[in-house]
Amino acid sequence: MNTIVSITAVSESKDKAEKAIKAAFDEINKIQKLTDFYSGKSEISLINKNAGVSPVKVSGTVIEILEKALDVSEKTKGSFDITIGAISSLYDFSKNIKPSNKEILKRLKYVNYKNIIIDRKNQTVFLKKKGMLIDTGGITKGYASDKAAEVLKINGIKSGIIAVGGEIHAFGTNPDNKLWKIGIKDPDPNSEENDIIAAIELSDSSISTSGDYQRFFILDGKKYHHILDPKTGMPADLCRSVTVIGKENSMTDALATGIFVLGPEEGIKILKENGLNGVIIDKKNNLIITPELDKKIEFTSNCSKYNKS
Amino acid sequence: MTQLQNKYQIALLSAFAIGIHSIENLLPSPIPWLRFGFANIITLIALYIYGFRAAFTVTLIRTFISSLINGTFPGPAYLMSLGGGIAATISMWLIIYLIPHLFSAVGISVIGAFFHNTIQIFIAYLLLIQCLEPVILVSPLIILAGTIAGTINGIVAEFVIANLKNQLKPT
Amino acid sequence: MNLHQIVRNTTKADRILILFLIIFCFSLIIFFNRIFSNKPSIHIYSEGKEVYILSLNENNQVNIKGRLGITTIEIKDKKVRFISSPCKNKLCIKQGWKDSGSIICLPNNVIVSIGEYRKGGIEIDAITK
Repeated sequence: MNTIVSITAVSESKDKAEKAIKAAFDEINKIQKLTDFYSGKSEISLINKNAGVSPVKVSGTVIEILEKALDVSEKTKGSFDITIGAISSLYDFSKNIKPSNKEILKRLKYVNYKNIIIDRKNQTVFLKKKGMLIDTGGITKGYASDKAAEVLKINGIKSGIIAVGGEIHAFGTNPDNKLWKIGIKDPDPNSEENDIIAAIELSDSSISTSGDYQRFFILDGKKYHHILDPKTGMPADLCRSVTVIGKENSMTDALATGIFVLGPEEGIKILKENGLNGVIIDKKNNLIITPELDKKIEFTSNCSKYNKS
Repeated sequence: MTQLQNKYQIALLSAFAIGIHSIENLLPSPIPWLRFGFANIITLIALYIYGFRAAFTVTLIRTFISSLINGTFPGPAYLMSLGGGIAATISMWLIIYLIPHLFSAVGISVIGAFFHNTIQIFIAYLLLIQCLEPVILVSPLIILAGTIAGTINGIVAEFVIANLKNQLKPT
Repeated sequence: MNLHQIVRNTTKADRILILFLIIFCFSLIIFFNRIFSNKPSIHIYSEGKEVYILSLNENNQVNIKGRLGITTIEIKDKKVRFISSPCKNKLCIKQGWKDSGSIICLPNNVIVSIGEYRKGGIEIDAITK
């Protein structure tokens, strides 16, 4: 996976922990291979190559990822949409390449999650229109951490934490026998790598953050970051950072992206509807949290830059 | 006083000092170097009655033999004891020599204790601790204790000196 | 010669010296204990700036000007609490007395922290980003 993966397993036996961690890494690598958007050999690439042509038989893993992605797309009214691949592939955040508006408009018609047809019985996936591209990058990291956690548990690990990039899945307690304490990155571009605005204690939960500071370039004085609005094909600009806390990391990963696009009001509504918690910093630097979080969150002095309304 | 008598006195005083020093080392102490420094009484007496050379010799003999007895020779504890002893002897002698009647034996003893402790702390810092914070924290405590002990030692020394001077008076 | 005589024989310089050393050492002990003591102090921040450093050992009451208005903080018996705050939900006041950690009033942007509030200074296991 094109990101830093860290796995911590708490166990009385070093051998047991190491074995479990190795198995978890293998699982993450397996998922990475299946879903890599840029590798021609991945199942996702196969699906993309056969868009508008024919259904592709895929593994249960890929079916599961796609179903979870579609679920979040439904929940966010299409603000999270893996078919954004048709447009996101036009951007290159390492080479500061932004497609022209014309190019974006031309491809916008390929962006619609409803055109992904999953046949569970035959385990096939079909993209209705030729030119469609699915990119599961917005959900595979979360999904991978969920699966890694499962593998750790199968290997007899009672407590652990998996971070695939910033997507975190924690279970049990930390080595000090306390709840896992997770920091939320300060979205301020001038902040240091490890500056956090707040910390949240959790267990048997996942936490994900989407922010406009993760991958971006500045062109003609305008900031272009990697979270694209499927409706416009342009970077979403209602939020600066969205953190979602829930059971499944695949859900929190995708939902953080979807809510980032939807904006704070809709976002908080969706969180409440789904019984989830979250922290949103919107473009006006307002810091909004779900009410349940009030007692569990510990703010740092960094959060004084933001207004809590 | 003849040369022989002088040597005899130095040997006697050294023996006293070694005895006191060694016994004191057996007493428990709340802080490692917090001791009464009773041996300083002997140094003080030697200074008042026999002069600097005798006192200095007694100090050298006392610290050397005591460290052999305590098994600290030639470790840092010996160097601390030697440095402290020399510092006390020289400082007390200088005050007596330079401003003879300003202080009584009590004041001189306090001055001796002060320099004894200061030098010991300094040597301990150089050889053992090399961390300024605990030294700074503990030194006022040691110097305070030293001042009190020095006062008591001075009073004891006054007693002994007064009695010895009576005895030494030619009859 | 007795003790009484010896004490009488001490010179003025003796007494001044002893007295001076005792007072000097005592003041040093007190002074160093203040400086080096690990007893936490209370750091108060308003709108991101440190505005007060107070001792947790001294009872005190201070007013801090925040974004909305004045927050009043009380320090008593090595604990600290918010007495009044212009914020709406008064969560900071509801937290009551604290002897460790911190109390944060986001609406008025006032942070009271026992011990220094390192920048983002919470010990954490991971960062979501």
